[in-house]
Amino acid sequence: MGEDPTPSWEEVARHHGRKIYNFAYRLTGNPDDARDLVQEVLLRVRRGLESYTPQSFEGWLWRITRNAFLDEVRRRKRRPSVPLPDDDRGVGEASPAPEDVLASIRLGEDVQRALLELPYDFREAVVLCDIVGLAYEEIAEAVGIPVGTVRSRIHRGRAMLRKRLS
Amino acid sequence: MTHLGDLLSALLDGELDSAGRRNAAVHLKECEPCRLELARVESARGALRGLPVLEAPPGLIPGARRRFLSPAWISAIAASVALVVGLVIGPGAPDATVQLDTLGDQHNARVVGDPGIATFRGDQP
Repeated sequence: MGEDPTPSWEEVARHHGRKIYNFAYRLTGNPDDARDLVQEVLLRVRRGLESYTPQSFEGWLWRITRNAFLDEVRRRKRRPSVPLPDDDRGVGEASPAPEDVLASIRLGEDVQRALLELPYDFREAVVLCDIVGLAYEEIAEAVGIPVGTVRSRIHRGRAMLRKRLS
Repeated sequence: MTHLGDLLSALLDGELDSAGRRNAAVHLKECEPCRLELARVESARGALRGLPVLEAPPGLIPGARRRFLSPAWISAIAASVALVVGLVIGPGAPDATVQLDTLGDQHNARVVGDPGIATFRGDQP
């Protein structure tokens, strides 16, 4: 078969760039950190694709993304980060009623704030599941933990989030 | 009775096989605490999934294009089309009064809209 399962770097950037940005933004609540992370991940993907051997692409990509994120967090440890920006550039381009926009921004801010209060392991699990949309198996592969642990973290993460939102 | 615990999230996420789903359904019928917990995690899951998908800043992702014209562009295009159509079709009966400031626009609109002129200029096959 002449089929090549390895995507090009441009394809990865085009198809996954926005998800990587959302992953980073939801984990940090900071657009600057999210931007830096996307650049770093795309750089690593470009390098990594040279030695990529066909496997679960999602697991591979999100392992790279996660490692890049953790490296960035370590690197910036000494720099205080802004908990939640007043920047709502990304809320969408459609034009619903102003009161709906305000309500959705407020709700989104509440959820984002509650998300940032979760311990990292739980935040990461729910973001990979509910924001990025990965299956448990893919999360297990990306994070390097058993599927049972993924399930437990997602469930506990959601329960903690619910408590903070109520 | 053992409660469902994290199987509730797995149930919501479609991560249980058919036997697991059946067992969970049987348990939920009889167990109110699990039904309450299911409602709680479902609401958190819904809140997360309802967060807006953010667009990456322009230029950050190579090859990413806007999928739709923005409302501002659509309005601008619609206004331009309306203007041209209005100028070509709108005047109706000839008007003896000549408005010097619109004369140029009217002329341009006719030149653009006139199939004869367009053919002569080679704009159409």
